[in-house]
Amino acid sequence: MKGDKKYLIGLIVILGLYIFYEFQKPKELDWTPTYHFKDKIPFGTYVTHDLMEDMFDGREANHSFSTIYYNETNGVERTNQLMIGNQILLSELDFDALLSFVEEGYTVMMVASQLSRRLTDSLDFEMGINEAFATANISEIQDGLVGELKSKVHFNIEGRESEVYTFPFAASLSYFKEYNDDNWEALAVNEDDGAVVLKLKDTNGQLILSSLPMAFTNYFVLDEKTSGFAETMLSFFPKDELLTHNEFYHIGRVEPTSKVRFFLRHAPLKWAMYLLIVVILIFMLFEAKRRQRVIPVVKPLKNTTLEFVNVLGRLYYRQSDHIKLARKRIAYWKEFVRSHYNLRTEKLDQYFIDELVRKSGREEATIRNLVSVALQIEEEREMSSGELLLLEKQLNEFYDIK
Amino acid sequence: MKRFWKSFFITNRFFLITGIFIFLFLVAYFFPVLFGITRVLFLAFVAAFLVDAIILYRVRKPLTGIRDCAEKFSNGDDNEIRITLESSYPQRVFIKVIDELPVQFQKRDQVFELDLASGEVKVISYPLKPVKRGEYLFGLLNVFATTQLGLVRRRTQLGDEHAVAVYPSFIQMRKYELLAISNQLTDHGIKKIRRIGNNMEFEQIKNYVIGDDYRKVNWKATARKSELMVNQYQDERSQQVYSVIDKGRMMQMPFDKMSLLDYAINASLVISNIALKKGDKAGIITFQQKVNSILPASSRNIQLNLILEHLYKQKTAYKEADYSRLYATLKRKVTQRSLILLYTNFESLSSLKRQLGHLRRIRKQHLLVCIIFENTEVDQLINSKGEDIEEVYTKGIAEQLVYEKKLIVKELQAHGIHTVLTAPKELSVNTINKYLELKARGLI
Repeated sequence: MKGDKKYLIGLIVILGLYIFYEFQKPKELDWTPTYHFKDKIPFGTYVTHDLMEDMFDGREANHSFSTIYYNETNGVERTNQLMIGNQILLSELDFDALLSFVEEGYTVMMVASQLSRRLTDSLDFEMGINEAFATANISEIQDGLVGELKSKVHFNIEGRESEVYTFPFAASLSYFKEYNDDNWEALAVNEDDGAVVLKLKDTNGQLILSSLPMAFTNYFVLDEKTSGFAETMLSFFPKDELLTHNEFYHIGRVEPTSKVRFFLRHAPLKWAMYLLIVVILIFMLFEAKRRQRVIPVVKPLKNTTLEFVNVLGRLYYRQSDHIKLARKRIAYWKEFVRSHYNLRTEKLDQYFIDELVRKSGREEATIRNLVSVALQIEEEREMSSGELLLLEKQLNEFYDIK
Repeated sequence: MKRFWKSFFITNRFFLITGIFIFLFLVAYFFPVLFGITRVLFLAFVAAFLVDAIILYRVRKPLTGIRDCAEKFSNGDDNEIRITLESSYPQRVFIKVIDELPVQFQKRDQVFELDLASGEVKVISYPLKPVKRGEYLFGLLNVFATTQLGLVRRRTQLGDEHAVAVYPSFIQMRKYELLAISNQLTDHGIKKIRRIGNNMEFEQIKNYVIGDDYRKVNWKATARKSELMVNQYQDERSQQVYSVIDKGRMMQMPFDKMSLLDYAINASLVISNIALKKGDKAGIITFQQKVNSILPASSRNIQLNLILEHLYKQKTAYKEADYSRLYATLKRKVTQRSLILLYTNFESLSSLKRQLGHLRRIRKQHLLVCIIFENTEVDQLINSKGEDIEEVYTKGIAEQLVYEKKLIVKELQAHGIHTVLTAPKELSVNTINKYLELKARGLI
């Protein structure tokens, strides 16, 4: 246990350092357009909601995360509606409910770069991409906030002076390419006279469409130069009536598409997944259990001879005094001959060779070669590595090592 | 509940089958027909699991068993352990036994598998070879039972913890003792030495065999029996035989996991026993940086037991051995000329030369036998082929090491010191040989 404590402390220290680091490091900005009222990221709408509170006498806007149709059929109080999103898609039922809202005198404002096909078809207008920007090539949304590509937007309301709001390319991707003048009134236009805010004529209430959802985000509302746009837009809502910000239609926001969800949606996969999790838990619980008592590790004594020989061998090899090693090996060989064959080794003469051949049973040529090498080594001063290898070969032959 | 949790285990088969089920469920996504069947099968599997658990846990005391072994183990020898198991399960069960061996063995997988019918008794026996003296602590027997279904495993812990003392090899001691008495030592490579010295203590008259000294022919007896008879004389008795054990650094080296010190201790026990049996006095001296213990030579009946206990207790720090102190102690404490069997080791000629003076002085008074060890670890290296120049160098150095040992022997012999150069494994036999040889030559 004593040893474990050390690791535990180490682990805690590392964990602490990591947490500290995580707190320390500057948070990377999230540039996703969420249009969520709680998000303080650039493209959330936290500030816009603050603004709404100011504009509607401190009353907070309602929030809804279900369809208009659902709200209506479930008896939720009817209010003015605001929808913001990159894309707003409506079902037929929603569309009908929406129109009934407008008929009854409520104000509905839909702000999106792309609107439902149902809406464009039945209300007779068409949206398009700003052609000036069509050629632009950006990978990140924040790249579209700077640069030369800009769109200048101004309101076109009778009896009211309007400033010109300049939106960068990322915020003004689309506009209303075509619309029927009989039905629609353009409340705001860009520099090419393309409408960016439309209002349906001749209705009890108001149906206002805009193609600039980004204008409602924190980023642009906080910018003094562009905050007027959102302010003016919000001023279209009657001041004393309740406003609901419906976030259901934010595509890509309501339901995160995760792989786990995919598994959970299909019964067999759900079974497989839950079974897997349960089995892993069981496995961890049961396989971690002790089957026998703890046996501490005791290192056995080590025979270091081989290590020693290797180190020494390498040391001699560094020196590479071949003749010295050859002499050692011949000395060992002579000792071998003395102890195994009982022969004297002072004189390596013909008698010695004959006797050794007879006693050892090796080929005469082998022994003669070896003897001649041994004699040579005694006399010479130097030896090449090739000769040393040859000696090794001859000795192996004598010792019968295969 | 805690006991249940501690005894409840799950088999690999369980995990394998659930793995198959996970696979089947995944397949069922593509072939929805399978989903229903798989679910039914899975429920059946869960039911089987529960049934299996119930079968195993229905019996209160399912197994009885005991581990049987000697109270003392013999170091360096195989000691038998017997595990007896009896099953009270109503049906045949498969058993896996994990024996908790003493920590010294460093063995965590002493596992046996067998199957037991109801009421059946089986015995498992296996050998254990300790390589260190001292106290060994056995743990419990963990017995895991599974049924034919094999999904749940129930553990029963049997027996209790008990200690076993590992003594110097008394098994070898008995083996050589019997052989020494029955004159069968030749079978084990123990040489018969032709008697050269002449001791005058008469023992018996026996038939002449080739090799006997014909000067000892007893002519009167020959005439009586009309066969050649010779007188046989007894070896000299009551001589002192001291086993002196070097507990220094050089004796730490293990061969086959057992240190040279333990080899030496085993051999001392064997030789002391034989010496006592032959009527000599045996004693023990151990030393490292100073002389640690002396057991004076004696031939009392209890001497062998004293030697055994004395050797059992030996501990060492493997300090550098001090031969001068050994000499001083021998000079003072061992006054009678004795056979000194010095178990030590020298790796190089120079290390011997440092001690040679002391050895020579010991030799003046006593009959000194230096027992040193061959380094069998390098044998394999020497008998291998050197493929490149570096390997040739390594091999050359290994040969040099072996050669040096022979030079050491020569050097010792040149100074009149008897030497035994032996592989650690053959230590006991070679030491006995030397003892018998010296005895026969009457050199003590």
